[in-house]
Amino acid sequence: MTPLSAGVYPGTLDRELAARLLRRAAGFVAIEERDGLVGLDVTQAVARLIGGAQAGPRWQEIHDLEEVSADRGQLNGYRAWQLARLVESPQPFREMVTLFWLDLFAVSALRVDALRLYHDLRSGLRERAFDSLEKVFAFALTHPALLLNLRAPSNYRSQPQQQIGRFIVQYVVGHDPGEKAALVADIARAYTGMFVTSGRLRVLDYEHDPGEKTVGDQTGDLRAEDVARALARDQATIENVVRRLFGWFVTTEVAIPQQLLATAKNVALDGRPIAEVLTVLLGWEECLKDPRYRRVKSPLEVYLAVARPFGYRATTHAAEALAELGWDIVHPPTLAGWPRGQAWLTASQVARHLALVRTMLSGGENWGATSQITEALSRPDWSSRLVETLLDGALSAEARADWQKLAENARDETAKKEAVAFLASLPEFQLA
Amino acid sequence: MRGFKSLLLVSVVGLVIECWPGRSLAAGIDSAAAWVPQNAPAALVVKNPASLIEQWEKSPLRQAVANNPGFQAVLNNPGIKQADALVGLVEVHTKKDRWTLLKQALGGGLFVAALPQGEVVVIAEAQDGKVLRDVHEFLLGLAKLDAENKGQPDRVKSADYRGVTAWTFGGDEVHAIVENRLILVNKPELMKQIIDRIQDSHGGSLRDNPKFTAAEKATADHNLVLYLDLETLRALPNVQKGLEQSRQPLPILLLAGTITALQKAPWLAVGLSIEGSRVTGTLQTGEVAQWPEPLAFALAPGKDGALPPIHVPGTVFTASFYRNLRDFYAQKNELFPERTSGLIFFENMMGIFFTGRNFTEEVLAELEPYVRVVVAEQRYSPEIGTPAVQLPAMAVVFRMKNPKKFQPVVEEGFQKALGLINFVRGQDAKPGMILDRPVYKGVKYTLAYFNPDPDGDKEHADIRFNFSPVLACRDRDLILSTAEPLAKDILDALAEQEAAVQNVHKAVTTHLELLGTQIVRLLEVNKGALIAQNMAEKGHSRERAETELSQLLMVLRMLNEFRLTESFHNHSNRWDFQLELIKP
Repeated sequence: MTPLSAGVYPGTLDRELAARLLRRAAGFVAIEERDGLVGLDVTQAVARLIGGAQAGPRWQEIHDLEEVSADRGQLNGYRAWQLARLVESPQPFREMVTLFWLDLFAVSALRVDALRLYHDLRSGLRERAFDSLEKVFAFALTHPALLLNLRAPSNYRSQPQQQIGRFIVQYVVGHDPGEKAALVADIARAYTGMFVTSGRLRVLDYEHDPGEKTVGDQTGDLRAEDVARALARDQATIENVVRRLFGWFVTTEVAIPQQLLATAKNVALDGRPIAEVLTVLLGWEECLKDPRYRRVKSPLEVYLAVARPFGYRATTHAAEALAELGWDIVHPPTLAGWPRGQAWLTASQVARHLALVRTMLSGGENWGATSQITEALSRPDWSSRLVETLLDGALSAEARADWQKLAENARDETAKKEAVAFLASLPEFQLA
Repeated sequence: MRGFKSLLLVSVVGLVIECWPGRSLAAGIDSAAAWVPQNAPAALVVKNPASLIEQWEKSPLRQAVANNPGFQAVLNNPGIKQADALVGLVEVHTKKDRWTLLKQALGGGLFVAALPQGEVVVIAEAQDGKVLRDVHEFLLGLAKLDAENKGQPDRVKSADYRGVTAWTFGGDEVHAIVENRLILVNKPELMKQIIDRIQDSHGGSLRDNPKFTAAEKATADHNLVLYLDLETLRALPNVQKGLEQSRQPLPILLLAGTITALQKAPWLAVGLSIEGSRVTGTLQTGEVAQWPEPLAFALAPGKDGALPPIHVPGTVFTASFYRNLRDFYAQKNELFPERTSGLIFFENMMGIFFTGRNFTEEVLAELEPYVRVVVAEQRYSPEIGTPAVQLPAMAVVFRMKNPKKFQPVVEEGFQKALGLINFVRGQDAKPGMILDRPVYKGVKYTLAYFNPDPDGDKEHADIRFNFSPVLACRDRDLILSTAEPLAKDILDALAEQEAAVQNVHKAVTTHLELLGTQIVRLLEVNKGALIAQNMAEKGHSRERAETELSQLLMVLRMLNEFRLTESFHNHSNRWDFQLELIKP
C-alpha cells in the first residue's frame, strides 16, 4: 500500500468517523464491526474492511447452496443466497464492491437467463473486486454473460452488434454514443467472432472483422480483450468509473471535489488496484467529515441497516420484497444500473422503506429474524446503541425529546421495536 | 386478564364438573338441542368424546404434534402455561391424570352452539361425578380466593333462577349445573332462556328446526357432527364476499358442486368418526331445489358417474372426475367473466394448437365427460441418470367420442405444442426434444424426449430429464402424460380395467385417492433440495431445516391413504372421505 494521498484524512478514526466509513463501505453499522475500526487510520481501516473477518461454517454452507442453486437454475434460491452474502458475509465490503461492478456493467440474471453463466461472472467480479481496472475490465468485458445481457449472443462479421458499442460508450466510457458513432462501431466490430452457445463462449476467427479499429490510445485489429485493456487506460473511462464509485460509496447528491477526482484518477491511471482508489474516495477528509456528503439509502441499504446489526438471515421472502421495492439483487433494471440517489427519496418510497423496517421487526421466520434482536434490545445501553447503529450522527433537537420519551417508556421488546421503527422514520435514517 | 382467568377456571370446571348422582340422561347429548334456541346457525356435537380422547391419548400423532416447534411455542404462551398449572392443581387435588379427568367430564358428550348475536352456549355432559363435585368446589374456592386477593370479592357470585343455581367467575360468563350437564354461556340472558326451555319444555328449540334434524340424520353414523345453517351464514358480509370471489376457472371446474351447494343449499353438516387407525367423514348439504344451469356440467345425469380411478405402480395421487368440459367451457362468460391473463394465454395457445377449429364445439365437444388424472413416482433410465430434483410424473386420461375423427386433430395439436416448446428453448440456446413414434403393446404413441447428456452428472442430472411427454390413444382413451414410463403404465392399467368389468360409479362426480407413503418417498428423494429451500425461505440453519423436514416426514409417514368421493343424491351434494393411518 502506497502512502496516504494528500487530502485523505490523516488521523485515526473515532467512533463517529469509523461508523461513517463502515456505513459507506458496507451499507450498515454493527457496533462490534465499527469498534474494530476505531483507532485505525483510513488505510488501515480500509485494509481491515477488505480483509474481512474469519469465515464460519455457516458461510461455507451459503457458498455451497449458492453454487447448487446456480447449477440448477433456481433463481429464487440464488437471489436469497446473494442477499445472504451481504447480510452474513465476513467480507461485506467486497460484496458491496462486487455489486458496484454489476451496477457498472448492468449485468442482470434475468437478462442473461443462463444462471450458471451469470454466477460465473458475479463470482469472477467478486474475486477481482479490488484488483486493477485492467483486470476487472479484461474479465468482465470479454465474459459471455455480458454478451447475453446485451442480447448479443451472436456477433457475425457481417452484422456487428451496435448495442455492445453503444452500451460501452454510454455507461463504461461515459460519453454520448450519438456523438461517438465511430467508437461505437469500432467496439462492435472488435466483438465480432464471439458467439455464446449452450452457455459457452466460442470465438470463430473467420467471423472476426480484422479491419482497423481505434479505442482509446489503441489502434489496429482490436478484439474484445484489447478494448478492455484500452479502456482501462482511457482517461474518460477512468473518470467515469471514479465518478460512479464516488456516487456508489459516497454520494450522488454532491459533486465529487475536483482535487479528489484528480487524485483518484491518478491512482487508477497508474494501474494501481481499485482498493487504493477506494481508500482515497472513502478516506477523503472533506467528504468524511462534512455531513453534506451523505447518500440517500436504497431499499437494500434500508434492509441491511437493520438486518446485519440485528443478526437477520436472508430469506427468499426478503429478497423478493426488495425486488418488489425496486432493488432486485440480481437484476439492475436498466443498462444504467440500479436507481440511485433522489430516486429513493419520493414520499411513497420513503413510506415503503418504513413499512419494510416495520415488517422486518414484526415479521416471522420468513424474514429470517433470530434471537439476536432480542439480545440487542435487552442490553442496558440498548437505546444509545440503536441510535449509533441506525443513524449517521446525533439525533436532531426536535427528534431527541420524542426519542427520549419513547426510550424511557419502552419496557418490553414490542415497545423497543417500536423505538427502532421511530428511528427508521426519521429523515436522518434515510441518509447514509 | 381477569376475564381470561375466569373463563379459564370455568373451562376447567367444564372439563371436570360432576353430575348429580342418579339423574343421568338416557337420551344422550343430542337431546341438548332441545335446550338451545331454534335460530342457532352453528352447532358442534361430540357424541362420545371419551372414545376420541382415548384415541388421541394413544395416537402417535399426538407425540408428533407435541414435538412440533410451532406447537411448543404456543405452549410457552403465558396464558397456556397458567392453564396448564391450573389443570396440574386439579390433577393433584383429584389424584387423577388429565386424560381420566377429561374422559369423566366429557364422556357423556359435548354440545356447542353459536347464536346470531354472538352468544355461545357450551353443554358438557359428564360421566362420573364423585370426584368432580370436589373439583368444582375446589375451583370455586380458588376463584373466590383470587378475587379476594385482588380486592374484588364480589366478582365470584351465584344466583338462583327457577330453582337452578348459576355461577359467574367474572365478566359475562355464567355457568350452571343441570342434572349431569354443565351449561356455560357468555351472556346471562341466554342462561335464563335455556333454564326456561328446560323447565317448560316448550317448542321452538334447535331440535324443532327441520334443517338441524335433516343434518343430524345425514350424519347419524358419526361421532362428531358440525351443523351450519347456510341460509343464515350466507347473509354475513364476509361469507357473501368470499363466495362471490370464487370465480376462477380451475376451482369452478373442480368444485362446481360444492360452490353451488354453499351458495344455494339451506344447511351443511360435517360428520366425523375415528375407529382405530381409520378416520371417516361425511360432508353433506341440504337439497338445492334448482341447480344453476351454467354449473350443470358437473352433474352426472341418471345412472352415469365417474369412471374408476387408474392405479399404476408408484401412484401418489389418482383422481376421476365426471365433468362435461364442453358445457363448462361454453358457459365461461357466466362462470368466470373476468378475462385474466392466464385465460387469454390459454385461449391463444389453443388457437395455435387447434388452428381453424372451434375449441368448444370441435375440440371439447369431442370428449366424453370422463376425466382421469394420475400422478406417480418417476422411473429414469440409466442413460439419463437421476435428476437432482425429481418431480413426479403426471397424466390426464380423456375419453373420446369419435377416436377416428378426433385422434388426428389432437395429434396435430400435440406436435405443434412440442414444436413451440422446442422453438422457445432453441431461442434460449437450451437443448430441444426429439420426436418419436414408438409402439408399446400394439399402441403407437407420440413421444418427445431429451437426448441424454454424455458429459452430464448422472446422479444429479438436469431437471429437464423429468420430462418425456407422450400422447397415446388406446381405443377411446386419450392419454397425455409428462413422462413415458407413466404413459406405458397407464396403457397397462387401462388394459387391465378393460379385462375386468369397468362400470361407472353412479352419481359420483369426483373420486380422489392420495397415498401418503408415496408422498414421503418423493420428499425423501428430494430431501437435499427441500432442506436448501427451507434454509432459503426461512433463513434457518441446516440443522433446524433438517429437524423441520424430519417432523413433517414423521407426520406424513403416519398417513397411509386418503380417499374422497363427491356425489349428488336427491339434489344434495355429499363428500365422503376416509383417512387410513398407519398403525404404530
